[in-house]
Amino acid sequence: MNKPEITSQLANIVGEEYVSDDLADLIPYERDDQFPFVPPHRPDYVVRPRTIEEIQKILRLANDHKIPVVPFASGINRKGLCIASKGGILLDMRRMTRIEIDEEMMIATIEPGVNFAQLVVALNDYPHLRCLTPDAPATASVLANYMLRGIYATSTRYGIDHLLTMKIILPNGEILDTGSAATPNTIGPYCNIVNGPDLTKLFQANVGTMGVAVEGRIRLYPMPEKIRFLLISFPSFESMLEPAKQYTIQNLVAGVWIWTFTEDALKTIMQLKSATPEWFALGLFLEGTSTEVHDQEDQVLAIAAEAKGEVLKIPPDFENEFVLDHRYMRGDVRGWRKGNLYGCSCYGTFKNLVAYYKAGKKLCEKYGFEGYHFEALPVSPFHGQLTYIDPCILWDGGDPAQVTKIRAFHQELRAALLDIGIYGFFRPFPGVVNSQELGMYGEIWRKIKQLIDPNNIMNPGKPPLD
Amino acid sequence: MDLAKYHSQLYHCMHCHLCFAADWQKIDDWRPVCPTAARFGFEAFYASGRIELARALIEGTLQQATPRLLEILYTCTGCGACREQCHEYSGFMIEHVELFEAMKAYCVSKGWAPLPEHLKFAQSIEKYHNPYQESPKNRSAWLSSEQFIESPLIYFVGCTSSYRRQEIAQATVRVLKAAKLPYTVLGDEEWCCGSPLIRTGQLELVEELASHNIEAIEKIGAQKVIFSCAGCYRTFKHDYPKMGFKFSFKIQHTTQFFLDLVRQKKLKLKSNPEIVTYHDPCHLGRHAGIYQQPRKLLKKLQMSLKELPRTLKDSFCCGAGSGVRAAYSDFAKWVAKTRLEEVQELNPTILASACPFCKSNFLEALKEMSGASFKILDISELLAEGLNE
Repeated sequence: MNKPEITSQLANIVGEEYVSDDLADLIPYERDDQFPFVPPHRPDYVVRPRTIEEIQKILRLANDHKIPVVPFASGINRKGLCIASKGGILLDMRRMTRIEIDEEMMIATIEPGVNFAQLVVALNDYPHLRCLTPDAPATASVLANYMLRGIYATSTRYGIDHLLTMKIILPNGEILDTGSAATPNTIGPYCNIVNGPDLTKLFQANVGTMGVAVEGRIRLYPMPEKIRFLLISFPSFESMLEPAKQYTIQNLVAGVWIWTFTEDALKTIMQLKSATPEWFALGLFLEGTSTEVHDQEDQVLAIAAEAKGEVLKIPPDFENEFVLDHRYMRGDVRGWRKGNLYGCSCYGTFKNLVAYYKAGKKLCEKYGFEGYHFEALPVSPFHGQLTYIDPCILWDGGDPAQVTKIRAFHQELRAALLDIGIYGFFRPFPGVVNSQELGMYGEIWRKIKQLIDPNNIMNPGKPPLD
Repeated sequence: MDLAKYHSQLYHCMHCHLCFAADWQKIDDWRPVCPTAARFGFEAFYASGRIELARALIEGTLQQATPRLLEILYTCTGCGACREQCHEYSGFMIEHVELFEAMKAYCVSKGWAPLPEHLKFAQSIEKYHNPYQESPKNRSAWLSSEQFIESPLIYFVGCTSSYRRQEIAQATVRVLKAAKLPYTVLGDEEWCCGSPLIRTGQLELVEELASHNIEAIEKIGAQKVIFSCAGCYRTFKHDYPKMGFKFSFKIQHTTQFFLDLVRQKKLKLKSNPEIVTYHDPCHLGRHAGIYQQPRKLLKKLQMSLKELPRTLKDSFCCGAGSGVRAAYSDFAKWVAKTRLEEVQELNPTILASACPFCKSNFLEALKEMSGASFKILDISELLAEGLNE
């Protein structure tokens, strides 16, 4: 079939209004913030399905004609994951916005077009429940974020595993339910325990390379009676690590952000006229009943004092705003105030934090990037000292010289992090993850991909077949 | 039209899509604020999509206009809601509406545009000095026969109130008379301010229009010019100075001017017990920063003001702006109906605004809505009705 025929077939499936192969509609999908590492490339078609049945038909059509398909949930992923590197059909799923909340089960069922802002608002009808919002703009898709393991201000207590099961449309158009929906006479799709391995995990951290996730069942959590935000500055990076570790091990906080900012980064993000040459601070979220939070605060402050931590006095309005901001997540975009934000985030160990921080700092000095911001967050369960690591650079993607520099920087930082030792990169985005380096694990991963997607139509060009 | 000056900044859009929705934290709700993204849904209809198209135009990967490209660019009402959401936090520093208008001017310079409906504006303005193909001699037909003295206060009526929404002009004059203020109008010496041309990328005639209007006003020796048209006011306030024009007279929108009169006790108002909600016109609110004066006037009338969920900087456009009503009337009506449905949630008796375009588009949409029982009035009309003469 030629291109107009494919377009016509797609229009038969979803309706003419929801398909385009016009250049003006394709170009806006060709680039994202990861453009130095994932070159812009446009799809051949954009399709905006509304139903699972439509997606099944689209995948059957694509599979029959070996046309690549790139799922696109809300479109703010900045890791190049939704760039149609081999062309094909871009599946813009922003029309799929169904939310069902099962209060008794503490579960929400969501479609991929649901973003965090929509879910937070929907949960207003259930004031004792909440979803955990990520450290990302709340315009991000909940399903995509949970599927790709985001990071959350509350991860120190609640971890990163909030997705229970998924409904996946496989490349041949068949439907796979990854969890307890498969059990005969199932009591519900809400559990990843089924008579076999947890297939949800197989599809998690695969960036639409084995099928299209069309529904997710996610965990909801009790809304704490009280949330407090404390900001404690320390004289050095090293000095704040022991308090952070104690807060984590003793379960005193829901989240402990370990932050450093160079003067340039702090001035840019907070729009300050002046700042100290480098600032070290812990951002703490305390949660629970009023009594619990009060008790936790006493213990937190005592530990901080031993390490010469200084509690910053935050006006109540500002604290309240900060807590709300972390629920609604609009302000996270501040990180882009220099224009662009580079991050080479990964999971590593707490004991290596100084090495990770210094590796990024040294390379920033080498390449002349002044806006260095390093953040880390211990993640529950803390076994293996699981810690989220994010060396960030505030940079200017509009300057071609900086684009060249950031590419070189990235290669060196990636190598430096691997030299120090990490568990794995945050997300399997091209330019970071190379399945060839993963030995037998990578081989099995590729074989599974080939088994499920023999025609390699699903998001080709992304790991594991990059 | 030189788009290249925007090039490096375009790489700063990271597609966070804050530009799409009203501040959900403030309003505790998820409501779109970009009319085109809400209606058409493809990324190209988001501000972020148009930014990528600007990049492609500059980099030469988009070298021909398809009808779809023109639809994408010309359905933008220029409401500026995207800018408010984006600039609050991001590092994207371009003025969005300025960029989108520059893209339209680029299309005109390439011969891809204007759209036929917009070309008619230009032809009519050139011939009649208004976009409605009306005779300049009838520009003041809305006025009862009255002799004007040359006054330092000029009421710049605008084409829409002169020919289409004359009740706004008549109400404005009634209020001026009640304040016993001598004023004058320019009559057929008042030419279109040029806004319909600027918003549709047709810049050729604009300098001549600006130059004529400024000259005609200064010839009378005016010290102050007031505008009941939010579009004309914005054009004088922002576009003329941007084009390099300077003028000695002061300018005010009538909501600013009338509030001053009320404060100076030059206007006496009766109490109006009705429930009113106020729609912020984009020209007046986001583009000129006038949010409080209209509300204060409604409070001076002792009306019960209910705020819309999307209000102030988060206001949802009426759908009429930037020539959208002329070229894409169905879409313009859809936007207006969407807004009126939001109004209906509050169940007011009056929807007030301060812009003749908003009023026209809302009235058009209201015809197709069942069960809407509120009236749509300009603030000048409410003031005229509320005069305690």
